[in-house]
Amino acid sequence: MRASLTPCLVFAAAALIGACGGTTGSDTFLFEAAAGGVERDPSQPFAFDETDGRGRAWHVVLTRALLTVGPVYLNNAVLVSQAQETSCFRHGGRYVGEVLSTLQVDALSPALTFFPSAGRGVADQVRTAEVWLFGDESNLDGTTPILDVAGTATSELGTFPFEGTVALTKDWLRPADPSSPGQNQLCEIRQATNIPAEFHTAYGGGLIVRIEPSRWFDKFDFSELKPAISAGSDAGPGNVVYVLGKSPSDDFTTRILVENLRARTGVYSLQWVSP
Amino acid sequence: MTTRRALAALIVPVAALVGCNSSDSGLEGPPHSGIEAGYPDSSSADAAADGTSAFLSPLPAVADPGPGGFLITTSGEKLALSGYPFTPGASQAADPALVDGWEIKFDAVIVTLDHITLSESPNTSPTDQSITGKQVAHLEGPFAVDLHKGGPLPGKGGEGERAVAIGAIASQNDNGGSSFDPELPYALGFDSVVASPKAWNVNLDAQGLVDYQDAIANGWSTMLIGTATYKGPEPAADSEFSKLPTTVHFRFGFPIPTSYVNCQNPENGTGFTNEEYGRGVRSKANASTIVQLTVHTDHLFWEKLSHEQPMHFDQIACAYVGIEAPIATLPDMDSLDFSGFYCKDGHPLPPRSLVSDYAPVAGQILYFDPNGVSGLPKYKDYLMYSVSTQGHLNSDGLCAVRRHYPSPP
Repeated sequence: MRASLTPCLVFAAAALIGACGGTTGSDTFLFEAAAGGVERDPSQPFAFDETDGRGRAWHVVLTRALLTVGPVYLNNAVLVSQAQETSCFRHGGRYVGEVLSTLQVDALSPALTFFPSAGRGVADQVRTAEVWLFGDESNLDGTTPILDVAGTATSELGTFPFEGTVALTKDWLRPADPSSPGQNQLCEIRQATNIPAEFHTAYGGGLIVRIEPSRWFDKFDFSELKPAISAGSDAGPGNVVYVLGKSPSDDFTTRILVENLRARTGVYSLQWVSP
Repeated sequence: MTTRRALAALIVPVAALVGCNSSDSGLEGPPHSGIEAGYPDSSSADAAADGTSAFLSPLPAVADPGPGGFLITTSGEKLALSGYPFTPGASQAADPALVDGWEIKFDAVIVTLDHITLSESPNTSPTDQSITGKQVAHLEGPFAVDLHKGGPLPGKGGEGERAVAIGAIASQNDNGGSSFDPELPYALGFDSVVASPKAWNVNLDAQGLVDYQDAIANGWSTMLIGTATYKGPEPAADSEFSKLPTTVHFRFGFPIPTSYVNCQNPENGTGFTNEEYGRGVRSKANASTIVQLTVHTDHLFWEKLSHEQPMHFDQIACAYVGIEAPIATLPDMDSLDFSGFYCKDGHPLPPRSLVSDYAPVAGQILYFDPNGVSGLPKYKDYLMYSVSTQGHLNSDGLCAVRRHYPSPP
């Protein structure tokens, strides 16, 4: 993994990459891209409050929040509200930037980490973005976890230490009718699309992706998680941990987390920085 | 007892109030564009010609504008007229039928339409459908229409559909009155607006006028009134389904004013990438062009915030477990979480399929898919978002949507 950097270092490096590319104007140029958690004081616990779907208030403290993001696409288009997606892999409009590599992001840390490879772009207005959650090239079936979280949630129901990983497998898909086997495709749950992003890409600039992990838990009901004995512990008070499910049959609340990973607002924010 | 009669007692005071206001202040009538023959001017609009209304002016007969002009019609398609029948083993896609065994019959589908506009250059931006050139013509309403009653014209969506005319645009009345160029497409837009006492009454009958007073009093732009009846097989005893009422009247009022901008047109063939049809409408040199503002009723039942989705009603009935023949309303939907539906008795609502071509979701609880749209806390919010995309052009032409109420993008 490449070193974590501050925003100013990101665009300084981006300018260097752009210069190496040696292209300007409407030509394709290279740019650096980096990702991190939201800006905050990292010395403080990452704590937030949320309300589950049944109206119960939860206080949550996250101790681990690792998300693998990428590729990232920048689009010139504003798509029509509630239009039916016609393709998993091309959402219309005009793509003006792309970062094809993937990166595991510590979403509890505001420090930025570079994507392993530079992005490519053309100078143009960006209106929407796509953050894909595909993992690495070996993850065609989605069995490699892309999310790893841990923390403690407290409500009137008690305290629930929790942990787990999420792999975006076909188990999370809505079932397709046998007469329409291509109806629900795996790629659908591995993309956050139509993310509002208003900026202009330009030669010499760079892309920053910020991730807000608290929004993964919007409407999440921690009391629905199943208990397990924490690793390396004996059964007994204080050693029980509640774990994320692996499919909707395990618990329906982990599915809400899966849906929240592709929220178009609140989870991902994208910014173009210029030197 | 029908939904409408059941609420009559509540509505009468509202009607009386509106009537008093009307007679005290005098009504101006709808703004008059002055562009079409047969429209009364605003000074005569407060006098109801047929005596059925003290607050809505009956829409005079709409004259065909003739060659080069646009006749504006509206329709809720066949489904607003006939509803959604259900027979066991039906096809959710072909019939179409609700997947969970419910039959839907409408008593009224009342909308208020306004600000129909034609603008230059619908293809100004291939990547942003909401951008057009300058507005060159308009037709002002508002127009109060019951899409369940339909009208005398054939619709654009196929056999059994009946549309009704609401006005005509004969020339570029915002551009010096010049004629439309048959060689050029014009961007078509329209608004769904909050019910207004100044609206033209297109086809509301006496009961429709009572309903419309309710819409005015509550700030609704769309009303769907009717009855859902369970027509599937007897559910297993002690199942959650056995606790659902088998008849649910509904009276959904939606305060969701929305603009539908630069619509795609199924009569144009294919459009830009990821747009199903080309944008805009064209005049014809030898006849008028019929432009149908289509309002779909199926959005109320969709399981996912996308287009053409399987439809359900169990989740609405679920809010009324233990109540016989309830009247479902939008505020009651605020008690439901679409991420996992729990019924009024606190038990989860299981998914089920009673049609031939639908597989229920996995797990023990029915849920709907916001499809990446966040900021919708409850099923009420989900419904408002879904129904707000109901406006189309010529049956299935999608428009850029601008919601004029607090909503996610």
